[in-house]
Amino acid sequence: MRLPVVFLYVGYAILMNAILLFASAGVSIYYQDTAFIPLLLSAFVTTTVGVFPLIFVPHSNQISIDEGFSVVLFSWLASCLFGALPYVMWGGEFSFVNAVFESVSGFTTTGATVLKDVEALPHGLLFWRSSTHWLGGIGVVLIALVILPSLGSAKLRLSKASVSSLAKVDELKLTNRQIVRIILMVYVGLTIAEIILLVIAGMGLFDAVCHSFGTIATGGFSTKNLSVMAFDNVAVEIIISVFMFLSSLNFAVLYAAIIGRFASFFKSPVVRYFFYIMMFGVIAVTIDLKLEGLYQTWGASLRYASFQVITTASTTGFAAASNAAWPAFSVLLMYFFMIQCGCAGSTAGGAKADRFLIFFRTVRTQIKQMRHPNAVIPVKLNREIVPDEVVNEANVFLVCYVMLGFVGALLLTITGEDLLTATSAAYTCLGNVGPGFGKVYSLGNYSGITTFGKYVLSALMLLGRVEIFLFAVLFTGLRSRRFN
Amino acid sequence: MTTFSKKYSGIQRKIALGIFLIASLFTLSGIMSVFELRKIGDHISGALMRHVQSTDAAKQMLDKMHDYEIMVMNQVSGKASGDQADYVALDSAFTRYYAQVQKLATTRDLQTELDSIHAVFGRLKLVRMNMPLSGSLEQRVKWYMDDFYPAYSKMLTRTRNLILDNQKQLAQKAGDLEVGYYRLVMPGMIATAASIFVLLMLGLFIHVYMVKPLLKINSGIQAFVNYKSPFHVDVVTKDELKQLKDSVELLINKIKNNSNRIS
Repeated sequence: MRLPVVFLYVGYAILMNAILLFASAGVSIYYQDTAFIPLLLSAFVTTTVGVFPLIFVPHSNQISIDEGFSVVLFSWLASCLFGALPYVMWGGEFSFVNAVFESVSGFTTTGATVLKDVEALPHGLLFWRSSTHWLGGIGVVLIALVILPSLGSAKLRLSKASVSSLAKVDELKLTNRQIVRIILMVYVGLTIAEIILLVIAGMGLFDAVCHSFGTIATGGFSTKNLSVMAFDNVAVEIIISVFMFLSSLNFAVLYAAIIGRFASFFKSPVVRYFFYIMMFGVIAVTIDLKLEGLYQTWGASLRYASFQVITTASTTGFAAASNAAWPAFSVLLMYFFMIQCGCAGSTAGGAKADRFLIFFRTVRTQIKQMRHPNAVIPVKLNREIVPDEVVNEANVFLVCYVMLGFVGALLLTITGEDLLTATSAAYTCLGNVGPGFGKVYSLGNYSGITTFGKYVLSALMLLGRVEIFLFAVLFTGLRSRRFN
Repeated sequence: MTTFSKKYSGIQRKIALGIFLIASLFTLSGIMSVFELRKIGDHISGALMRHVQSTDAAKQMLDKMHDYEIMVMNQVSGKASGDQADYVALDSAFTRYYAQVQKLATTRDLQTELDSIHAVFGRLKLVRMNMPLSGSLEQRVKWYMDDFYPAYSKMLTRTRNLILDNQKQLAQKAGDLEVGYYRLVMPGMIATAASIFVLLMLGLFIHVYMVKPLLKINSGIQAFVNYKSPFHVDVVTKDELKQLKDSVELLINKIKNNSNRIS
């Protein structure tokens, strides 16, 4: 593995951060707040480190699989580290561990915060927090690829490593260059559309920009202590809910719908499954909340249940209501969405709905197989056979995923956290959702978690974002046949 | 840039740019540290000065209260007739110090305390005006004990609280200094860490793109000289090393051609 080449590509990713750091410093100047110096210095340091490999390392179009994986992994790590600089320099509630946690939470689009008083942050830092979501959402590496003058096999390998292998867009017969363009077009388009709609709905421009960044990236950082609840605006909640749902779908499918191929949108079995399971969640939680008497009217129950289910299922993590007193049925249902997360090919992290669908189909196939032992019954999606390696990967991944969440929860209980807090915090961070239950309920924060716990959760967020197998491949030297 | 490129080319330019970036990082961290130091220094010294002046003024208020009480006691015991002008002078002195403290108060706690003092002082003046001047000594003493002294004690407590609040604010400023110290050293620490990382990268790049090709060229020449092996050295950079490699290649080819011609 050529380390300088890895540095070169990671440098591009870091430079993306630098651009938004300078933009945040501009916001800081506009609002004349105290974050200007920390943001400016962070931008300079980040630029210097990012530019440095460009001086020495010649461009390389051909990179190996190991190098590709290393670039993806180290781009995330470096982004999280450099993203923490303005927080550390600004001070306030940000100790080193808090700054790292906030940065990791931002870049992995988790949206879990350690801040007790978000509104005490200057505008520049609030903008930077939301920018980390936006950057993380698109994938630091994917953004870096766009500016690469060389679009050869290097790009192919990197995009395969950073986008889930399930996120295939074969149906549209696209090249990798087109995929990157589509992702950017859909991403930027959705962001602008949401900003406009939120402003029309009555939100201030700054809040609208920050909330749009958080929504499209399925992040969840808000500019308010009470998150979306602070606005108490049904129109705002509906707009955010719609965009949260859209952002958790495969971007290529979204693009197909945008260019008029609605059939592709509804033909996708994953989209159909995701939509139906979410609808089931909304209806079930609404009924449960009303019957348990948490809300007086069916309307209020539907309003808060739908927002909370969509925010969790899409891994965004905004809050329109407190879930601290929710009944056990609703809590358990939210656990399911917390583990399942959004669709592959979206900005959502976690296990992905695609894998769950494959898992359910595998269960059905296994039952059929038991009834007809000699028959060859493949797993099918949309009448197409799913290759065995994809089925195996999905099922093994799910087992590893659940186990990893369990280990994370176990480590948190060692630090003294209660069962509800530990399990929900572990799975919510692994799924890049944000809020959980117990101490870390929808309107709560992670300030009460111990330093060790914060590091554990930061690691889970990263694992959830870049997918467990990437770490495994990199550190064990195993080769996935798909990438050979 | 063109002049720069002409003057420094290839390796020279890379090293010059690398060193310039590292130097920029260190300079920036130095400037930021000095800036933060001055800012925090000004902030702390200004705050300290304000609190010292505020505490002094509060002590003066306390002294004026003592004078006030002595005047009242003298009047109660019949030692003095209680000239209204003396009271007015004391009132205005007290109000002057009060205004001074109010001007220097920057926190909500101090403002609340000052508001209370204002109210209690108004009540004290009202009580003093209702002194039974025509009554007997016993009646005046009873008035002093029942009406004046409780109001006066309240006033003393409030003024002492004001001094205590000022001291608390000073302690808080010391805490701010601690936080400020954290912010003061952070930019320097981060820039230094980044510089060290960049230096390590520089070392790696020099090794990979400068030292290694030189060693390869050297071993290629050695192999040709000793074993007449073909000179195959790959240099990825387009700088002086590439030129050197091309020159060596050319030289070796010429030597080979000459050897062939001779043989």
